Amino acid sequence: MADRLLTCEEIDEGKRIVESSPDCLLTPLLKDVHLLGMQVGGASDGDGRKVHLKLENMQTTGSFKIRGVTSQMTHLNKQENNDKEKKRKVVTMSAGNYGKAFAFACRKHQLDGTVAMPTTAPESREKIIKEFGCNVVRVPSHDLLKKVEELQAEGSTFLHPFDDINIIAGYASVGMEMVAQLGRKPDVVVVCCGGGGFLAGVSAGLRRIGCTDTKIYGVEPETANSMQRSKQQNSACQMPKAHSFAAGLAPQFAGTICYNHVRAYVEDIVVVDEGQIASATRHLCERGLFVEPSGAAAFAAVMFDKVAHIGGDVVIIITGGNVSPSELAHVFEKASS
Amino acid sequence: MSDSINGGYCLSYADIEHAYEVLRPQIHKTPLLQCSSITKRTSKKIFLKAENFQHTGSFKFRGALNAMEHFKEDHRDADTSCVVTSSSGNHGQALAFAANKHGVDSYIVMPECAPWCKKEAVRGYGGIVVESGDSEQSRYYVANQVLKEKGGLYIHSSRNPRVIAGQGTIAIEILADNPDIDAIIAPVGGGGMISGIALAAKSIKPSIKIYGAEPEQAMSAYTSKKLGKLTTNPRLPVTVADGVKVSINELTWPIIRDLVDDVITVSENEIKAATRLVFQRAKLVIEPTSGVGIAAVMKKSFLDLKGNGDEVKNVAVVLCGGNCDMKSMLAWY
Repeated sequence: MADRLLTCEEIDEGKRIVESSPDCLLTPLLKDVHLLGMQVGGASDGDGRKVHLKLENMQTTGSFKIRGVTSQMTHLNKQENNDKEKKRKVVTMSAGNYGKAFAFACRKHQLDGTVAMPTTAPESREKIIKEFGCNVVRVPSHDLLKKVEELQAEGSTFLHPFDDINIIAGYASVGMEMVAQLGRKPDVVVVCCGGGGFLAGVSAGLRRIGCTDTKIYGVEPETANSMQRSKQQNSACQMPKAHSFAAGLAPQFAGTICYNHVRAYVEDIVVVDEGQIASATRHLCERGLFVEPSGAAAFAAVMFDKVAHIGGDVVIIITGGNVSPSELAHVFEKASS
Repeated sequence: MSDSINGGYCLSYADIEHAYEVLRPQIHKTPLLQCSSITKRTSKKIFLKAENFQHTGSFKFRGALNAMEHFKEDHRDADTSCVVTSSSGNHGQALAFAANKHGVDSYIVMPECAPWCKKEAVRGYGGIVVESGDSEQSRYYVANQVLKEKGGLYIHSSRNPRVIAGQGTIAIEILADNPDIDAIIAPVGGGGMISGIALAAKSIKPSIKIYGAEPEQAMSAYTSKKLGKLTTNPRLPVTVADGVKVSINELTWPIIRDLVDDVITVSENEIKAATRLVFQRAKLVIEPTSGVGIAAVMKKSFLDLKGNGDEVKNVAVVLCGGNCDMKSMLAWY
């Protein structure tokens, strides 16, 4: 398991599952946003870069997570259900976009789901998940894993929110889609990185489709740079003090399977600060796109020239748009420019 | 392409084609996005023409720029030292930017109570803000004072053939991107956009259906079509769709009368719900005026509009702009 990378068959199966699912949308690739007046970094006289945005904020449930969840649950349902009378029970831990996608998909896949979330999570998150018909159990952060293990002992299958080979296979579809939509191999792809599942999947998908020269970069908040540290230390590491207002990008450890893919395929991990994420979020909003701060981190890295050697076709993935206008109003106050 | 439509209108399709040639290198060719969350709520396939991505944040830039591109040639014997308009919204910003591009001063008459961010936006584009009272009379009076003092010419947001021609280029782009579009629906205020779109679209594809969408609180086009004569809004409308408060006029009415197949009205709650839906599902930042078109396609009565039978499968909705005043939106969001 240590050096486990997705096989071609697994990537192709992930793509097939996502494409045939009515729950996963083919999101737009907004081309040439540098011509739409967006600030995309670089020299003021231009360096020939062409910037395109893959709009996963427009995905079902408002983020890319549904692709991974759909793949996970499809694989689960292929397994024998020992208790055919009742729905299969599943459990996860996430107050964020994964939890929302999980709750939505449980209903679609006829699963009896429970989401464990920290007591610090906002009530609105619990409400959204309950509205999909999922159970919610709140525990202090440090007890989350223990609660999950309890539910596993009672017969629930644990679905990891990011460090799972089936999730990563589902995400690979984004890497392959963007190439088909662009019509040519991108030179650079920039991706937001939390636990690293999405970055892992996108990069595996890009390599699968023959983009061996594409430079792939992950972007983390500087206060939650677990993947950057993992790369520096050559092993997936924990970061108990990870925190960011871009909460989706601040889990307390980098995924192990995720890290394996990052080590194999990703050029580098760069970091951005709070002000830069806020500026990017505001800029995108002013230009017509509704993006949550976690979803704007990759754009921030390009906007503020944090990625070296950018040129040619640059695809930035806008990962999510689950934020309210009042939350955004607060975020705008943090903007650095 | 059919023989050119000749209804004695203030402009022809050739004017719109010409406008497109002139505007093309200077405007954004905005995307035509598919939106499954809205499609799911209707029986038609919905496409969004995202003019919120346009320069200055709304489609108005097309018309304003076309007016400025032809400014000196159209007014050879007149004083072209500056332009004046009265607009608290998108036309003011668009004209300021377009005039600035041409090195011409612009005086934008705005009511004192207009949101600060809109005044700042006009100034940011190089326009000079001149404040007036809220009423139409006050705006008219102040605009006339400016013309007297500074000279120059008035560029109306819709009562201007060059402006209408500029807005018509939206239809050229929609049909170029997707020739299978069977109907186009757009919000109607002064009617500059809908008349330009109707003339262009029907010249390119005569079978296409054109529908206008208005707030119930500001339905001059609907009323005019019903009564068969130009009828303006009786009083200053109160609607969250602040971009469509003005009434249609004598330049846009004949085209609306002849080439717009039908007009549908929507309630304030429907506009708000539609705007919220676009934010929450399509993740596009739009101003409430854009919500008018979305609200229209989601109504059951949309299917009752003239000519909107089963053969109309693909409907393009123009999202006219994204210049929303976040603060006032938060009040009702």
